[in-house]
Amino acid sequence: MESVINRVVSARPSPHHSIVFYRAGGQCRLSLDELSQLAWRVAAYLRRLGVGAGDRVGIIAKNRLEWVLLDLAALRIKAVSAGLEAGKFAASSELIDRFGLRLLFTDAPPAHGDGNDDRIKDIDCLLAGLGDLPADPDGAAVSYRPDETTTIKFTSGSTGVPKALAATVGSIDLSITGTQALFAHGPLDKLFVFLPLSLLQQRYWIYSALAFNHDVVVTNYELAFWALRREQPTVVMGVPAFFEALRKEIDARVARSCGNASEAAAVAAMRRVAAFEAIGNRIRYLWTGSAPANQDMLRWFNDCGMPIFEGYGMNETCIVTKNAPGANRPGSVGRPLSGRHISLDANGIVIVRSDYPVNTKYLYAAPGDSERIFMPDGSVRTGDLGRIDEDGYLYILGRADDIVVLQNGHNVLVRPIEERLAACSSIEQCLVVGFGRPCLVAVLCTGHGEAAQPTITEHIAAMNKTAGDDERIGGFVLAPQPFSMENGLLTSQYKPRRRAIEALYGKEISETYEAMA
Amino acid sequence: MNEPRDLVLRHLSKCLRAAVAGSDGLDFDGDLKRDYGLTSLSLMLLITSICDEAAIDLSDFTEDDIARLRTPRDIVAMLMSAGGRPL
Repeated sequence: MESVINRVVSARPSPHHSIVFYRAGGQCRLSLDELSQLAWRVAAYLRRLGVGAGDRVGIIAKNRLEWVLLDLAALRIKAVSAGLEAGKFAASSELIDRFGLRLLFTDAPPAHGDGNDDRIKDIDCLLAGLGDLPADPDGAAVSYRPDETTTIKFTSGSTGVPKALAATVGSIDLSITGTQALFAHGPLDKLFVFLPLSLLQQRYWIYSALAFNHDVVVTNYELAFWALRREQPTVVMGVPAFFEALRKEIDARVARSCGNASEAAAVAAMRRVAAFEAIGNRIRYLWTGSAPANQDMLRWFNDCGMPIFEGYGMNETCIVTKNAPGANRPGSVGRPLSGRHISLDANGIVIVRSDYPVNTKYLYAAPGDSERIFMPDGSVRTGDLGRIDEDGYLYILGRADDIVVLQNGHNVLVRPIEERLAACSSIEQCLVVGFGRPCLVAVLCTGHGEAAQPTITEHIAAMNKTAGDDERIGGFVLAPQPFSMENGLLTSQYKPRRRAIEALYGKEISETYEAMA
Repeated sequence: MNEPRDLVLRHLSKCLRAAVAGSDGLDFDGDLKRDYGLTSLSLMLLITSICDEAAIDLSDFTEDDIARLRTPRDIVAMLMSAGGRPL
């Protein structure tokens, strides 16, 4: 397998393909060749600041050109990039010491009292600091072995306390080449990236652009919809919440335009037009992963003429499976990429073995954390319940954590119930709880306050009619605000933080049970 | 000042579901997330649509401008600050 990373650090990319950055305050566009040359100047700058092979360079910033330059520059000099999620971490001396960083570049003010720590660098000043430095000359000599680590990623963790994980070059190469084998990204493609670059997988698509010569757009979620309409990408790297938001907005607009009396065919045609207006008419496919996708949403985009492919992976495994053109089984998350191998343990939990594992242990974690995930042979115990069909397609049934054990001792997998709840037009987000309780209760976010209560009650009553005894919803709590990253109730990949939501609405949940007693 | 207000409320009305009859019933000082149930993503969809119609470059605003948006009134204030360009 030719190393993508080795190609990125040593080969000269295309001057005919570009990378464009949209962020609040402006945008910039440069050719991949210009990006590469600029990154090698940043490499020289890092060397001048004393950064060498093995040193860790921290980055706390929203997506921007300088983020990518630092990451590529670190690759070039065999330093280790450490992407920390903006907004979640504050730039501080304590953080630098805790994670053993040589330098930390940030777009936010340093923590109080740490302003004089010269290890903390203002990322806004990076380009000005280059002066007339020439490009780092040593690129041709740089070569990585598959087992070398090049970056540290931080898992979001269901408790909100991140664990660090160093990723091997082999695992990155395997993910990018495996994806390339399925989707053949090439010169006519423009990939769209808006999730945080601190998530390593988002940087794959920049490495892919440099290795396989295609365009790439990098933005933040704030400007994602704005940039989509202007850039007309061929591929959007998204998550279910992003596509759901688009679907709901388009459906609401179409419903208002058509009224109730319109024919289904007319509505479908209007939806299709609206979808192309929103996302552009060059879409080759949409990528979704990181969280379970609602099958109705996937069908909706497919019906609009935009193929959408669900996949599966986690920080500890990189990309494991992916549906793809010609190998797409709705409801599944696809078949394993080349070099990844899946099986189920006795409890139905998905086990992933990789020809090149991401790693075999966490760097910073409580005793026992590594052993809970990484098995002695290097396989990863994912904690996801799965099923593998006769053709090797993987179906994720839920997190082992998504199992609610009721008072009667029965296990209830709540994810499918949450999906049925979310089908209600008045429910924006939901979470089902009930551990140790006599029945399930739902915590619901709605855009219509108390006014939505009758619609929701009716929807739940209809669900309960066909549900098994333990799967019925006994009551619900209306959350006064949506689950969001800002309030700590969603991960950066838009997954609800189950424990945080249960803790926040603990009183209302208890009152709901008391009212039922 | 009526024009941007109407623009914002009309777009907000469009992106909400059936429970809201029209822009007349919307509270100009209602909380976009708490009262109208907008998520971070759906709020950005709303802002994008408004800026598109008003021919204002969304990327001209700062992250702080966007982070401060709580109510329809805040959106109007942000639009009015857009480089003095008429709506």
